[in-house]
Amino acid sequence: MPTAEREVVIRNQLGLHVRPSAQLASTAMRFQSDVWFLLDGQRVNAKSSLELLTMAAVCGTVMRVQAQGSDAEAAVAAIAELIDSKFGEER
Amino acid sequence: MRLSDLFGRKAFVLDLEATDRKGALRELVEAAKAAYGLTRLPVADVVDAIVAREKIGSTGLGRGVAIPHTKCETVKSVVGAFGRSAQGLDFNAVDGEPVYLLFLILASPAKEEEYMEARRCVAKAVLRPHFVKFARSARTPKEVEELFMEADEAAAPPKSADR
Repeated sequence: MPTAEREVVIRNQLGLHVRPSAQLASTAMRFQSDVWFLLDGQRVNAKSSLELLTMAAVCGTVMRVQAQGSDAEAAVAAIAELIDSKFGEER
Repeated sequence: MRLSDLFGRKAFVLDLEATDRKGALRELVEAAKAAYGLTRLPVADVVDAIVAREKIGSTGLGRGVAIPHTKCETVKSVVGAFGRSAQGLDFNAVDGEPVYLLFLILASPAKEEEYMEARRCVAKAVLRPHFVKFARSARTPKEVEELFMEADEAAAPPKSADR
C-alpha cells in the first residue's frame, strides 16, 4: 500500500480553528487514502474536523501529515498546499 | 474550561422552532441575550455576522453538530447557547448531513484564547461516545446539563484522581 508523509507547519495566525479544520477534513475526504496528522504522540484522523479541532494546533505548530492508500502522494500534497496557503485567511 | 459553565441551562433552547439556519441562529442569539443579560447585544447584527462567516465555511463539523461563533464587542468574556432542532437544519455541514445540535459561542474580541478553547471544549465533548445521541434524546434541560457535566468530568477528572 503506497504511503506518503511530510512535515507541515501551521502558519495562519489563528491556528486550526473551526473553519480550517473543516477545510482540511473536506480536502482529506476527497481522497481514498487514510490520512492522519501526527502531533505529540497523537494520531488524529484528518477526515474528522472535530478531531482536528481538538488538536489545538496553534500558529507555529509543527506536525506530520501521513497518508496510506492508492492516492497517498496526492492527498499529502493537497493537505500541505492547503496549510501552506494559510487557508486563504491571510495574504 | 467547562462545557457546563459555557453552556448554562438558562441558555438552552431544546426545541428550536426555526427550520432554517438563520432563524435558528436568531433564536439562539436571543436566548444568549436573555440568559446573560446582554441588554445591548445587537441581535440582528450578530446573526448577520454569524451567517456571513458560515458562508465562508460551515461550522457544521459532522455528527449533526455545528459550532457557530462570532466575536461581539458587547460580550465581556465568552458565552454559549445550546440549541436543538428535532427535524435538522441545513447547515451545509462538511459531511452534507443535517445539523441537530447547535453550540453557539459569542466572545469578546479581547478573549481570543478562551474563544479557541471554547470551541475545542465543544469538539472534545462531541467526540465522546454517545454524546450526540444522548444530547439529542435528552428530555429535559436537567438531563442535558448532566450530560455536559459528565463530559466535563471526563475531560478534567477530580483532583484526587490527578497523576
